[in-house]
Amino acid sequence: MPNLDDVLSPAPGVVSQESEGELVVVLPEQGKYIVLNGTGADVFQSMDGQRSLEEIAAILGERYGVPLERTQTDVLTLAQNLLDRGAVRLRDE
Amino acid sequence: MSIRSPGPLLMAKVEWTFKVGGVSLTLTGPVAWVESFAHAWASWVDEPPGWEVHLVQDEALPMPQGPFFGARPRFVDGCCLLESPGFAGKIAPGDGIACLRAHPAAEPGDLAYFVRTAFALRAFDEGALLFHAAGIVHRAVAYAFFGHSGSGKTTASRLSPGKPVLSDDLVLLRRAEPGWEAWATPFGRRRIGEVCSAPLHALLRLVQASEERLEPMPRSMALGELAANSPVVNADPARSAALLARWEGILRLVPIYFLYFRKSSAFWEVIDAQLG
Repeated sequence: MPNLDDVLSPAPGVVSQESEGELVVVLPEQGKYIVLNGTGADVFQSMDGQRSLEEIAAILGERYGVPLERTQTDVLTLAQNLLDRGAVRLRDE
Repeated sequence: MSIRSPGPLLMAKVEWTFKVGGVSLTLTGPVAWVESFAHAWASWVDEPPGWEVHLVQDEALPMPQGPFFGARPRFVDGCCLLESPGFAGKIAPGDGIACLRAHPAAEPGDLAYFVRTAFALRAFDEGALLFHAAGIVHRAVAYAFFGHSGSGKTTASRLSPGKPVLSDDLVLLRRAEPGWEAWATPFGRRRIGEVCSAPLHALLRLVQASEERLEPMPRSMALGELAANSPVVNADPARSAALLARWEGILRLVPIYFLYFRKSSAFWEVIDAQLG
């Protein structure tokens, strides 16, 4: 499980495109894809190799008026999911 | 059959050109290898030379340990590499080079896999798109049935007696005015070979179910599914953005649905009722 201190960025070659309020994330080397809803898209697009997951959770909480504890849990869960699928990688990798 | 020898000193090497939906490839290599294509794909022969694909026998390579089909394309510095024991393929569209070195024991199906890979890249770079789908012509328009392996592409083809099948596995999509066209390819089984293309009327994602019905597919999911069913090109990070953009363009003109179907031809009644 990633930590709130972790900084993530899209894995090399991953391409995303918005479509009708969702984000399609294509993983070319696997020939697979992920569809993220609006909130998931916000998180993925914030994973820019600069901001930590804690910062992203704080931005999300403010934007959607959701308690920080919940956004932190959601961001960590999504980060784990994206790491498992090879869509993002840790900054130090 | 139209096979030309490049010259008297190279009599053992010949070339043969085929064209699919306006995309031409010229195969050069040993007589036996090139002849296998000329016989199997005789109806696709074309005269003007196309993009050259070189097939080279290399006894120094190890014996193939299995079908070349298992090799996944890797993209390095703009080149597509396709390698497995007994095979070393390199496709560099930017330099106009495609070359497969293969052990003499290579099977025609192995060589065809490389040619198909080169064709997919060439077609994409010419504005077309090779699509993992069964293309079936019904009332003068084409329906592209797609889905993961085992979803029913071949079954849908078999359940459509009397209708031209452009291919039960891979069709070529080309821009036309208006819309897009689906073209037959030699990659898969065909039926009624006289029909080579038809306007693309709908994209249908197959889902086996206990009833027949059509449901619109959300655009974002459609993009992902279609990209996942765009062989070779979808493995190239440098072409991914263009691939998504191309599918976006197609989806602006061609509707896409889930087709829930049983193993019967009744799905054509649903298609006629809603899309005919």
